[in-house]
Amino acid sequence: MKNKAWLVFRKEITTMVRDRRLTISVVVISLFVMPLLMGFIGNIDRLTGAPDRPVAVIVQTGDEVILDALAAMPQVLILRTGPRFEMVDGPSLRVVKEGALYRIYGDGTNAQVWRTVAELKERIEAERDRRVAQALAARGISRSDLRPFEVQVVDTAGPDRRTGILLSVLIPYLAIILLVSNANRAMYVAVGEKEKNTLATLLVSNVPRRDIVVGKILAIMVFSVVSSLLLVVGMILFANFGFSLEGLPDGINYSLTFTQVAQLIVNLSALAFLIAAIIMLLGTYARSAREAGIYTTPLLFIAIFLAVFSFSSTDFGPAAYAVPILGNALAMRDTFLGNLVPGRLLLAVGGNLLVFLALVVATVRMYHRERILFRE
Amino acid sequence: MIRTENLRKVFPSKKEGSVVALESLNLHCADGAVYALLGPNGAGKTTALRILATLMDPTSGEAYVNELSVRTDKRAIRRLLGVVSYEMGVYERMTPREIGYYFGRLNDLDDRDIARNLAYIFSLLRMEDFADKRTETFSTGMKQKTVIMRALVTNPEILLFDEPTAGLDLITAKSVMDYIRLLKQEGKTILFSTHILWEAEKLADTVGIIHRGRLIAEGSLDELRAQTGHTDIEDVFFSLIDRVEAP
Repeated sequence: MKNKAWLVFRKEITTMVRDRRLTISVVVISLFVMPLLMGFIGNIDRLTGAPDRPVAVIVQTGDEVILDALAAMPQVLILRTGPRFEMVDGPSLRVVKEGALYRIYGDGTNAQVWRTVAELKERIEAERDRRVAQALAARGISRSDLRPFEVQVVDTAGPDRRTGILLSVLIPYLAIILLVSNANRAMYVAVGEKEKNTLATLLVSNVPRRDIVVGKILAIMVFSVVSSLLLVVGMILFANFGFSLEGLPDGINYSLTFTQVAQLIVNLSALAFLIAAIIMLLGTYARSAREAGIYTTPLLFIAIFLAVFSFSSTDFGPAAYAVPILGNALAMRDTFLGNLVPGRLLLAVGGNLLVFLALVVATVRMYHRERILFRE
Repeated sequence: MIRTENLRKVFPSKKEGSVVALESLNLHCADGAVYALLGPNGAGKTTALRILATLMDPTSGEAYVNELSVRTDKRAIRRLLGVVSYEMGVYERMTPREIGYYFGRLNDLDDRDIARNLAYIFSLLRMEDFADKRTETFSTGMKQKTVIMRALVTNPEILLFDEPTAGLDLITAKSVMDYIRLLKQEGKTILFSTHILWEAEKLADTVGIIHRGRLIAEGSLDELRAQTGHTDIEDVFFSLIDRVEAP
C-alpha cells in the first residue's frame, strides 16, 4: 500500500507539469524574462547607449578659480550670463561667490549633476590648498607645521563583509517575495478541486483528509521552491554573460561557508513549508481561484512588510526570531553577516513549524466542514 | 442496504436564517435493489445523496449504509461506495486510465486489480478509444463516462448516482442507463436520483418521490400506480405532488 499523501503529491505535481501555460511561464519568466528585466534596469544607460548631456554651469561671477576649475572639466557647458537657473533645459548647476564663500547649487537627485558638483568642489578645494601651501612657503612655514599629523580611517570589514551586508538586505527580501509569489501561482492545487468539481470524488475516496492536505502542501512547496530556484539560476546565468546588477561591488566573490549554506537551506525550507501551508489554507477556504487571489494579495503585503525588517541592522532580540517570516528574514540576514546564533535559527524554524502545524490542523478541519467545502 | 430514519438537514441561510433541505426522510433500499429517488429540482435529492455519501452530516436523524452509520462509520462506508454525480468534474490533465489508477490506489487496490477492473469498465462503457487521452478535450458524454469509471474502479458494493444522465445526449444517456442495468444484474445495490421519469420506470425496483425535502411516497411502481389510480408514471408523479400541494 502506497502512502496516500505521496499519491496526492505525485498527482498534483504531474498535473502542474502538464499545465503547459504554467510550465512555460515558470521556465520562461524565471530563466529569461526576470533576469533580462533586472539586467536591463541595472544597465539601462549602457544598453540604451545614450551619452550624458553636458551639464550647464551658470556662473554669475568672472572668478578665475571657478573658471579655471570648470575649464578642466570637459563635461560642462559654461553659461556666464545665461538664463535663470530654472530655465535651463537639461542638467545644470549654478555657482555663486559670496565673499570668501563659493556656493554651488545643484539637484542632488540627478546623479550626473551631483557628480559634477562633487568634482567642481574638489577642484576649488584643491586650488585653495595650493594657494595656502604657497602662502605658507612665502612665510617660511612648512605645511607639516600646520598639519602635524593626519588621521585615516580604515574599514576592516573588507569587501566580503560589505557584500555580505548588501546580500543580507537583498536576499531575505527577494527570497520571501519569490516564495510567496511562486506559491501563489500554485494556488490551483488548493482551489482547483472545488473549481473543477472534483473535490467530492476525492472526499468519498478512502483517503484521510490529513493526507490530502499534506500531499497538496508538499506539491505547492516543491513548485514554489523549484520555480524560485529557477529564477536564481536565471540570474546567475545572466550575470555570467557580462551583466551586473547595479549596487553590487565589482570584482568581489562572496562565498558562503558550508555552515551558512546549511543554515540557509534549513531556514528557507521552513519558510517554504509555512508559505505553502498558508496558500493551502486560503485555497481551501476560497470557492474559486479568483476569490483566493483576493486573500493572497494582503498576504504578499504582510510578507513584504515583515521582510523589510531585515533591512534594519537593529538587534530585535530573540523573541522576534520566533515570529514567522520576520524571524526567517532576520536569521537570513544574520547568516549573510556570519553571526547567526544557532539558538535564533532554532527559534525561527520552531516558530515556523508551530504555525505550519496549526495551519495544517486548521486546513484539515476545513476539509471536514461541509459549510466550507460546499460553500455557495 | 441503505436506509434513513427521520433524516433532517437544515442549511443556514443569510437571507432566510435557515433552509430545510430534508425533513423526516425515511427511505429504504434493499440489498441488490435499484432505488430511484424522483423529485423536481430543489427537492432535496442531492442533499440526501451527499449525506449517504458521507460528504455531509445530517442535522438530525440517521442514515445507514449496510447498517453502518453515516455519522460514525464514515471511512467504512466509503470503502463500500461508488458515487457518481452530474456535477462531478474530471482532472483535465490526466487520462481516464491515470484517473482510474489514482483513485484505485487511493482506495487501497493493487495495480493488478486496478488494471483488471479498468479493462472491464473501458470495454463495457466503450472507452477504449479515449482511455489514454487527456480529458481536457472530452465531450460531456466522455467526461461522464470517466466519472462513472472512476466510481466503479474500486468495484463498490453500493452505488449512488445523482442524476447520472443530466446534460447527456440521448445515445450517451442510454449507454449510461444500460450500464446501470448491467450493474443491477451483477447484484449491486443502487440508489439513483433523477427527475427523468422514464429512467425510474425502466430501472427501479423501488421509487421514492421526494418533494420539498419530504418523501411523499415510496414503493414499487405498481404499488404507486395502485395508490394513485394512474398507469402512466408521469400521471402518478404529478398526482402525488398535487396531493401534497393541495390546500
